Amino acid sequence: MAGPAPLLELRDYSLSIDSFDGRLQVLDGVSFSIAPGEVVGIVGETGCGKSITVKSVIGLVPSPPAKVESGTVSFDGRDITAAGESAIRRLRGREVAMIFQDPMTYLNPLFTVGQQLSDVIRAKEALDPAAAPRTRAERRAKALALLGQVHLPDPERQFESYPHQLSGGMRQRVLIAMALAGSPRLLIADEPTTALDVTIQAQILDLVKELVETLGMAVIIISHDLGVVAALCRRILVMYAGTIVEDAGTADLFENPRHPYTRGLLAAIPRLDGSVTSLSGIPGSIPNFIEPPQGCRFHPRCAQAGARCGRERPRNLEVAPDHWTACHLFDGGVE
Amino acid sequence: MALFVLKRALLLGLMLIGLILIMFTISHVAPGDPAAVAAGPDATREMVEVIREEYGLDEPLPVQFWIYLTNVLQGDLGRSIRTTRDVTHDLLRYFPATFELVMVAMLLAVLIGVPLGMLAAVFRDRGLDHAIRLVSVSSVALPMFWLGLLLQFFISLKLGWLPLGGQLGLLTERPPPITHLILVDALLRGQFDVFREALAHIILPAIALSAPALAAIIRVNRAEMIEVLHQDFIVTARAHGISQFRIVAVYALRNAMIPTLAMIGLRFGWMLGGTVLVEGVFDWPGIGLYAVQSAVNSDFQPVMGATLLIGFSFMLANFMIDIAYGWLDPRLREAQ
Amino acid sequence: MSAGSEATTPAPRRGLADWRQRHASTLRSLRLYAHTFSRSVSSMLGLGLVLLFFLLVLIGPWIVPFPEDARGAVNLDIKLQAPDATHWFGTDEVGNDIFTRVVLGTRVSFQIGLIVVAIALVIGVPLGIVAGLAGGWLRETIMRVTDVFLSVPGLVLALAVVAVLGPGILNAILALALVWWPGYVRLIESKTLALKSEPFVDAARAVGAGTARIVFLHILPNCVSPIVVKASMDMGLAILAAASLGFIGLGAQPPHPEWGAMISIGRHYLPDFWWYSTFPGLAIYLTVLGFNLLGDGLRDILDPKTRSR
Repeated sequence: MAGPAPLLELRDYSLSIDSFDGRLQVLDGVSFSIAPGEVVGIVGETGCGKSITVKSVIGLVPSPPAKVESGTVSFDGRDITAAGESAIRRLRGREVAMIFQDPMTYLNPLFTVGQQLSDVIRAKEALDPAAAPRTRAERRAKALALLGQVHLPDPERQFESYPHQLSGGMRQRVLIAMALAGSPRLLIADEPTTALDVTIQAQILDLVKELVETLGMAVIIISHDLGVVAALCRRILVMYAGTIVEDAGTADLFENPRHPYTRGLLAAIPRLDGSVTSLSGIPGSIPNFIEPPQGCRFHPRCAQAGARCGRERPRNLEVAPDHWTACHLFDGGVE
Repeated sequence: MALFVLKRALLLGLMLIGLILIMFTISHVAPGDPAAVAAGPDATREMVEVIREEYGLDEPLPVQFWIYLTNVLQGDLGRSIRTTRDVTHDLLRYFPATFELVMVAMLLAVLIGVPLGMLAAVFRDRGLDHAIRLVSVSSVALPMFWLGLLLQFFISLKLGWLPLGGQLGLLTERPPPITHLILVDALLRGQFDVFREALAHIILPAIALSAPALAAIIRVNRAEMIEVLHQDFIVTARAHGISQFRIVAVYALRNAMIPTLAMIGLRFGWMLGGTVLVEGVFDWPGIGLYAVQSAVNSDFQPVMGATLLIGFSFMLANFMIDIAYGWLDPRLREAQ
Repeated sequence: MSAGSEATTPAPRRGLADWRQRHASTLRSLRLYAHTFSRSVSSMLGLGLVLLFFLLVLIGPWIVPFPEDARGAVNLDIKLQAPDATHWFGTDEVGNDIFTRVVLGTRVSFQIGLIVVAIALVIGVPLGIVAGLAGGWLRETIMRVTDVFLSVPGLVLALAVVAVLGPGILNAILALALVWWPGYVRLIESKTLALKSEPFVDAARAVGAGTARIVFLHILPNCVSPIVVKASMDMGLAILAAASLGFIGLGAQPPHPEWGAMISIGRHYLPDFWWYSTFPGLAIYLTVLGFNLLGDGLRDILDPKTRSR
C-alpha cells in the first residue's frame, strides 16, 4: 500500500473467545491499515465483529476468555500484539481514545461530569512523561475548555451536573470531550449515534466532522448504518462474520460494490423514493461462530456461491486501484 | 430532602408502635394469667394483684394496650424481679457496654469485609477468591458462641495473649464516665493504659460477634463489585487509561458501597441480637447478658424491655442508613 | 425411549435425535446446571455434608455404640474420659458417650430445622402471594406487619417468646417458627409482584383464567426456585438458632442430646475437658456449612440474578 507509514495496522488477526458452548472463532484473518489522519468506517451487521476488532486491539476484551489465535497488531510501527497491560494502558490513555454507543450507561452515575472529566485529564497527564502536572484549577480550566470544544451548552453548570441530569446528546458530547482530553492520534467511535434521536444524531455527526477537520486525528467509525459512515469517511471496510470482505473508497464502494455481501448491504438501505423491494436484503442470518462455514464464511447465504466457495478461503485481492475484496468471483471464478 | 427525612421519621414512629403491639401480644399469648407471668414464678398472690392493678390487667384488651403503650413511650418498661430495679434503669446502665461492643465488631466487619469483598471480585474464580469465600462461608456457619469459646480456649488459655472476659481487669478502675463508653472515656481522660486494657478485652468478643456480619459484607460487596465492574462506565474509565487501582477502589467501590451499606444497616440489628450469645460467653456486662439472665430466671419484663430496645435501635440504624443512601446516590437525592 | 415414541418414529436412534432436537434448549440448560454445580467444589462439598448428615438422621440409632446414653444414662465411673477407641469423642460429666449424643443430636436438630422451615413456609408463602396479588390496604397491612417482625433480630424475638412460654424444645420450635415466616412473605411478595406484570400472566388473565388458576399454574411454579434456595439456607440457620437457644438454656433441656445444650454444659469443663464442647460445636458448624454451601450452589444454578442477596 502506498502513502505514509500506517498508524494502525492489523495483519491476519484472528481472535477466539471461550464460552460454555465451545470456542467462538470471532475474528478470522482480519487485515487492514489506517494512515495518520485518515477517516475510515467499518460497517456490517450487528454481531459481525466490528466492535470486538477495535476493542481487542486496545485491550478492552478480557483475556481469558479471549485469545489471539494468530496475526499481529502494530501501532505507529510498534508491534503491540503481546504488549503488557501497562503498555496498552499508555496507548489507550494517550494515543488512542474511544467513544461508545450508549451514552446513558458509559458515564458513572455517582460522579459529576466535572469529576469524571478531570479524572480522565489527570490519568492522561500521569501517562505522559512530558506533561507538567496540573493543579486542580488548571485541570478544571482544561475540562471546561474541552466541554466548550464539543459545544456543550453552559459548560460551567454541566461541570457540576450528574450524568442523569444531562440529555443523551449532551452525555455523548461529554464522552467525546473525555476522548479528546489526551489529544489522541486515533479516535475510535463505536456506533456513536445509534442510541440517539435522529436530530441529535445529525448534531453529533457534525461535531465529529468538525473535530476531524480541525484536529487532524485518524478516526475509525464503527456502524451498522451505511449512511452514518458515508457521511464522514473517505474509506469503508465491510465486515462479515469476523472477516473483512471489502475495503474501498466511499464513492467507489457505493458506485461499484464488488463483494456479493456488500451489494446486498447496499440494496438493503431503504430509499426515500419508496422502492421497498430492496429491503428484502440478504436471506439467512449470521452463521454460528463455533463451527463457522468452511471456505468463504458468507457462502451459505450467497446467491452466487459455487463449489469452490465452500472449500477454499478467498484471497484478498486488489480488484481496482485501492479497492480490495475477498471473493472467488474476482479470483478465477467459483467453478 | 427534609420532607423525605420527615416521612422516614414518621414511618419509624409507626414501626415502633407496631413493635410495641407485637410485644404486647406476645405477653398475652402466654398460657395462664398475664399478671402472674409478669410477677414471676415466686410471686405471692398479693404481688400478682398489685401488678394486675398497676397495669390494668383486668381491663379490656385495648385499654390494656393503651396503658402498656403509654407506659413504654414514657420510658416505663416495668420492674425486674431479679435486680429489683426499674428495667429502664437497668437497660440504660447496660446499654453502653453493648453499644461499644457492637460498634467495634461492626468496624472490624467493615474494615475487613469490604477489602476482602473487593479482592474477591477482582480475582474472581481464582485462588484468592476461593480462599475468601471459605472465610466468608465459615463465618456464617460457625456458631458465634462456639467461636467465642474457641477464641477463649486458644487465644486466652493456650496462648495467653488476651484476657478471657469482662470489660477491664478486676483491679482496674473504670475511667470517670463522660460518654460511658470505656474506650472513648479512657481516651478523653488520657488514660492510655486503661484504653489499651479495654481494647485487649473487647477484641475477642468483637471478633466472635462480627463473624456473620463479616460474611454478609464480603458476599454483598463481592457480588456488587462484580456487577459494577461489568458496567459500561468501567469500560469508559479503562478506555481512557485510568489505572486499574483507581477504577476498582474509587469508581467501582463507590457504586458497590450503596448496596453494601444497606447490608451493614441490616446487620446492626442482627449484631445486637448476637449479643445475647456472645456477652454470656465473655461475661460482657451488656443488655444481651441481661436479657438472657432475665429470661432464664423467668423474669419477664426485662426481656421485653431489652427486645424493645434492640428492635428500636435496629430501626434507628436503618433510618440513618436510608438517609445516608440519598447522600451517596445523587439520583435518589433528587427523587427525594 | 418409551414404546409410544418408538411406534411413531421408525428408527429409535432417529427418534432419540429427534427428541433431543425438540428439547434442545431444555437439555442445554440442564447440562449447564449440572456443569455449573459439579464444577463448583463448594457446592459439591455442601451436597456431600448435607447427605452425610441426612444419612446419620436415618441410620443414627442403629449405628451408635451406646444408644441408651442419649436418654441420660448415668455412668459416673467413666465420666469425662478423653477420646479413645471405645468413646471416639470422649465422655461427658455423667459418663455418657459424646459420639453417641452428637450423632443422635443430628435427629433433634434436623427435626427442629424441618419443622421451623415448614411452618414458616405454610404461613409465609400464602401471605406473600395474597399481598402480592391483592394490593391496597391488605397488602399494606401484611407487609407492614412483616416489616415490624423483620425489624427485630429473630433470635431476640424468639428469646422473648420462649421467656413467656417457658424453656423447652417445643416452645423453642414454636418461637423460631413465629419469627421465621416474615422472610418468606417478603420473598414471595416481591416475586409475585414481578410475575403479576409478566406478559404470560396478562395473557392468561386475558383468556379468562381465574385467580386460583393463575396462582397455581403461573405464580407458584415460578416461586419454587427461590423458595428451594431460601429453604436450604434457612434449614442451616434454623438449626443454628435452635442450638443458640439451647446454649442459652432456653431450648432443648439436658439430658436431651441437643448440640447447643451440650456445649452450654461443656463450656464449664474447658479447657481441661476440651472434647466435651468441641465435637457438638463441630457438628453444628458442619451442618450449617453444608446447608449454606448447598443453598449457594442451588442459587447459582436456579436463580443466578439474585446471587448478591
